[in-house]
Amino acid sequence: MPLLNVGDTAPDFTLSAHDGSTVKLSALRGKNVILWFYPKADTPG
Amino acid sequence: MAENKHFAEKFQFPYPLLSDPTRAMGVQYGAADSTSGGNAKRVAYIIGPDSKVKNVFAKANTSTFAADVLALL
Repeated sequence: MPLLNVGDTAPDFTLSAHDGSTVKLSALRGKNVILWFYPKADTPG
Repeated sequence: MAENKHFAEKFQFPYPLLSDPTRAMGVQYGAADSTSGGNAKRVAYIIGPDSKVKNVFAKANTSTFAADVLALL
């Protein structure tokens, strides 16, 4: 899949966080959200 | 998940570190090529309060990213 474009609606997601909590993007509506993807540790990239 | 917990606690990240074990979310966001393999790309997004993409970083620069983002918020 290509990157999203500016102005696209960010696809909602629900993922588990390191602290055991669950993060749902739509629950953060009204706030700025920064998403930074990174590869698994000790893999190239 | 356990690795992420250790990593986040070691560096005391003040934000949640999420896992996308199926890569489904990464694929949707263009950070992974497929759900079957390959490593995530260092892409980043700022999503505005309206849930729309405000900024796209095709290759987030690890040394300047924090400043880059702060300049845009």
